[in-house]
Parts: sequence; structure tokens; C-alpha cells
Amino acid sequence: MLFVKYFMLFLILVASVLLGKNIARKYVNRLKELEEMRTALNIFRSKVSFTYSPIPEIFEEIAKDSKGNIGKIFSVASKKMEKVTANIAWSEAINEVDSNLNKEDKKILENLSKLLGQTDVEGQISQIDITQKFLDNQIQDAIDEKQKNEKLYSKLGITIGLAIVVVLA
Amino acid sequence: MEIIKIIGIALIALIIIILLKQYKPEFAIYVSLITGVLILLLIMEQLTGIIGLLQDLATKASVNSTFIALLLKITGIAILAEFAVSICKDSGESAIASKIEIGSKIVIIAMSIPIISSLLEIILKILPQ
Amino acid sequence: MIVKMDINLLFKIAAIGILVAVLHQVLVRAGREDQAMMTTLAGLVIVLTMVIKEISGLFDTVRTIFNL
Repeated sequence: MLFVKYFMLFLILVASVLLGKNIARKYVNRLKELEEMRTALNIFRSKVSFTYSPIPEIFEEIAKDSKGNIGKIFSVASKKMEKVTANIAWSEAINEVDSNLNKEDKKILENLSKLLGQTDVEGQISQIDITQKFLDNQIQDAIDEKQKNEKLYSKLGITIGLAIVVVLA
Repeated sequence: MEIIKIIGIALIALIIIILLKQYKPEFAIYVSLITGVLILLLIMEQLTGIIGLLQDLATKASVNSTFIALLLKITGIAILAEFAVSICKDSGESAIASKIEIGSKIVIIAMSIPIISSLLEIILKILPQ
Repeated sequence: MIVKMDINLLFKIAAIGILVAVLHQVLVRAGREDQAMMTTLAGLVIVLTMVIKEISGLFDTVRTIFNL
């Protein structure tokens, strides 16, 4: 009986530590994904201006190049473009893929889709430039938040777990 | 070996209190409170034997048992009051501590009224008319 | 009635105090003073509930022993 009790307490400790680490990791992942998205948009921009391949193809190439959730967003978007228009596919892909981006990031990325596949190359490139500028702001914001919160949440998880264990022991 | 237990508890509590005072002085008071409770509880186990002996002696010497009961009650009150007073003094509230002292004294006097009055009666009997 | 309790309670309170101090430090560093205060308050209340149980145990013991 005593062994079961201590085993449960240990589980609670592990769970709260992992929870703290998970929340802390979200901030790191958000920064990583924002940077990934920026490089992806860079590739997109150069491909739009130098090659004249259609958007779904470009997206698929980007999806192959980039890792994780960002790659997933691009591949989902390119698949969706077979059925719906480019801008709807893009915004749906952003919202569907379970990424660490927050609402503001998603809104900025959705704005990109407004002109996607509707204006000429110049218009799209300028739209991409604007989005990148906004993304830069978000990246700065993410760096600040990461510095503030990453250590906080991992330490918080450990100490709260220990406190629960001590109170219940 | 109760005394070793008491000393051990006291020393451990001392170290904990010194440790806690640097970071959170609020918790140090709780530790000293619990230490007091622990030590008093340890003493209480011993006290039952002493009290049993006292009551035995009283019945053998045919002393009025209400007096013995009163005496025990007064001792209990004094112990509890002392406990509270020392905690208050430790926390720097000597005003409250002195109020508790006054309260306990008055309660003790009020309880010992029958003893005092019977004592006076005995003296009056002894005194030549 | 002799209330059985042990030295573990002392260590428990010490541990909670240290953990609350650490939490306080971490939260203040992160600029969340109000939450830091709340954690301190929560720790105090938790310890208070544990302490009050023991004090009432002591009072009960004294009362039964001295027939108060």
C-alpha cells in the first residue's frame, strides 16, 4: 500500500515536471516555427520571382525543404489547392495544422493569402515582403517571451510538483 | 528515552527555523509552533502517570477529591497559557502575551475560589473565638 | 487520548516553506509579483491547516488529561 502511494506521488511529480517542460517548450517551438516560416517565405519569394511554376508546385517544394509543422502547413495547403482557391487553402492550412503559433501569428500569415494567386508577381512579392516584416516583429516578440517564460515554466513545474508531493506525502 | 526524543526534535526544529528565517520568516513561526506542540504531546504521555500517582495518593490520604481535580485543572490551564504566551512572545507580540497571562491568572483565581474559601473557613475554625 | 504525530510534520513544513520561497523567487524574477504573493499566501494557508489540526490535538490531550 505504501509502495503504491509513493509510486503515485512519483507519478504526480513526473507529470507536473513534464507539464512545465511542455509549456516551456511551446515558447521555444513558437520561435523556431516563426523563423522556419520566415525562411520558407524567403524561398517562396525567390521562387515566385524567378521561376514561373504554379503555386501548388512551389508549396510542395517548400514543404519538402522545411521541417516540422511549417512543412506540414505548406504540404496541406498545396494539397487543398487542388480543390479550392489558393487563399482559402492557405488560411485553412494555417488553422488546421496544429502548430505552436499563436493567434496573432496566424492572422499575419492569413493576410498573406489575400493576394495569393490573384495579382501579378509584383503584387505577390510585395505582399510577401510585408508579411515578412510583420513576422520579424513577431519573432522579436517571441524571443522576448521565450526569455521571460521558458525558464519560469520549467522551474514552476518542478517546484509545484514537489510542493504537491510534500503536501500529500 | 523521551528526553532524547525531545532534544532531537528541538535541535532539528532549530536548524529548520534558522534555514527558513532567511527565506520565509512566516513559515518559521509555524515550525516553532509545531515543535512546541510536539514536545508538549511527548510530555503529556509522561504526565498521565504522574497524575495517576497523585490521584492515588489523594484517595489514600482521603483528601477532598474536588480539590485535587481543581488543582489538576489549574495546572492544565497554566501549561496551555504558558504555551500560548511563549509563542506570542516569540512572534514579538508581548502585549498579547501579557493579556493571555492576565487572563490565565484571573481564570485560575476564579477556579480556586472554593479552595480559598475553605482555607479561610479552616483558619476561622482554628482561630480562638 | 494521545495524538500520535511525528517529526515528519516538521520536515513537511520546512519543505513547503523552502519550495514557496523558491516559487516566490522564480515568479518575482519573471516579473509576476502578484502571483508570487498568491503562492506565498497559498503556502501559508496550507501550512496553517496542518498546524491547526495538531494544535487542536494538543488541546484535546491536555483537556482529557487534566479533566478540563
